[in-house]
Amino acid sequence: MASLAEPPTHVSLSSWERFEALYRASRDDIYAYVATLLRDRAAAEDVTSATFERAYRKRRTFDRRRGEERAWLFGIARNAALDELRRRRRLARLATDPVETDLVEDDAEVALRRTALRAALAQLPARDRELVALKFHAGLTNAELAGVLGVSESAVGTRIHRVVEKLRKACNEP
Amino acid sequence: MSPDEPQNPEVTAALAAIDAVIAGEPTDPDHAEVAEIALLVVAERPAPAPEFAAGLDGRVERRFGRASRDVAPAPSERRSRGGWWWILAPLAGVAVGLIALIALAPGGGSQSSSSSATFALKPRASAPRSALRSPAHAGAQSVAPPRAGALSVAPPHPASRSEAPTAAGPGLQLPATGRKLIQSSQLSLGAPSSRIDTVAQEVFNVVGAQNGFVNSSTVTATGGTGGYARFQLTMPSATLPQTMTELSRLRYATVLSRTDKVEDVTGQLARAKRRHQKARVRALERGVAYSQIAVTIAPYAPGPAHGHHAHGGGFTIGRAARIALQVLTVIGGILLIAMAVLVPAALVGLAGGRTAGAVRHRRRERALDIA
Repeated sequence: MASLAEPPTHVSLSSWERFEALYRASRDDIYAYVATLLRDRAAAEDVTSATFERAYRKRRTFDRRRGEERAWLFGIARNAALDELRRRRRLARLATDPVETDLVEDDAEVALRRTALRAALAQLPARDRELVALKFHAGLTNAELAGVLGVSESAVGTRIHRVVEKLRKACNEP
Repeated sequence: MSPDEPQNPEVTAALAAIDAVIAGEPTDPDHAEVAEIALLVVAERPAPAPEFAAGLDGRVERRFGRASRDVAPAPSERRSRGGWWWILAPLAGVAVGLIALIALAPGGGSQSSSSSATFALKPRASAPRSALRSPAHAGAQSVAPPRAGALSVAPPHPASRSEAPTAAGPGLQLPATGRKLIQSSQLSLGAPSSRIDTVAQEVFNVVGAQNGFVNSSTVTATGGTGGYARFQLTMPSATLPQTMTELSRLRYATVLSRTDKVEDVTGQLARAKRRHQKARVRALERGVAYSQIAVTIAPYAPGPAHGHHAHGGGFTIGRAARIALQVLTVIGGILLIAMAVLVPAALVGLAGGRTAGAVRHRRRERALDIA
């Protein structure tokens, strides 16, 4: 069984180096995913910490035959986030600061669409919100998404298209 | 459309546009609106607070040296930390306990017990006489397996007592209660083929010494394996214990089995007297006064294992192999018992673990639906 400790294709990297590289590459993605799903910044920080701590402890159980490290890590994050959801049993408002964006707010129409989009995102069911978080905020490919969610890549694509269509319609509503 | 159905070209093109815009590549103008939505959604990505990111970086640098206590580890994590020992350790303890119970229980070590009984039951003609007289030897016969010369117990008889005394001991020690008892015995002796006639002669000598008489006898001494002797004796009841003792101690003979039977005829005798059945009274009184003894002498060759004992139990390859086989058999039995306990328990544990995992998964998914 290949593990983070003994990756068959990266024999030069130690277990720790592999984990650290995974952490550097995924920290913000994990946080973005968890924060979008939970809509609670404090809870997202706790779950993100727990995710990496569990990943660090379980790094030797990673089996490359069952998927890539990134999908494995997001699986851990998803379990931790859902456990948090179960524990809280409530929807917490994401007490976010204004979202930092690279886009220049030079267009009033764009600002309106962004406001409409935020409202639409807030209305999304949790499953759709999770999909948005994984695809657009965590940057997972459709194949990685399929691995994390346990569905086919085709199903992932179809669901993404539906969610985007839903958002587009919401943004275009008067 | 079901999510698992093949995507139509329009959906495929829209997804390609989304992927392209996320990657910063130009998109198809026909899907510009979808691409714009995708960009807007990406722009909504939450970013971790700098202080949180710095704190987490520090913890990672320290390799989570001081693990946070506020986030309880998941059950699967607990399993992975301790492996499956949290299931197997109690099961192993139960298995070891069971094996210990079986091994320590009376009769649990049946193999070794049988072996010692067999040795005691098959005294050699050349063994010291004291071995045949010893109470320990007599006691050992009571647990002997049938093939090794177990006592043949007479079938139950109405108004009679049938007992199975020790073969080599003094026999029944009946209390002097004034009861009228008819006693009879059967004695089966083993002797080397070449000694059948010698033992038969000794039987005659004992009968003469105890004032008994031989009703019938058959002695066939071939010198080979076909030798055989059979006696039907009538002895004064008063001398029966002594007679049985001496017959059990004959040189060259080994007691293979012995059956003593006692029938209380006090009531029958009283009834016969009341009814003046003189012949019946005489027969009963004669039965009380004289006891019947059936003696058979058959060729008997002690096994090789006993022969080794006779010579002080020296080491031979054959004996060592037998002992090794016995040890392996015992070990195999213990392993079999352990597997009989551990395998079903492990299967149950595995099934339980999988069920718990499935339930946990379902609860998580349900939490997502509720949220």
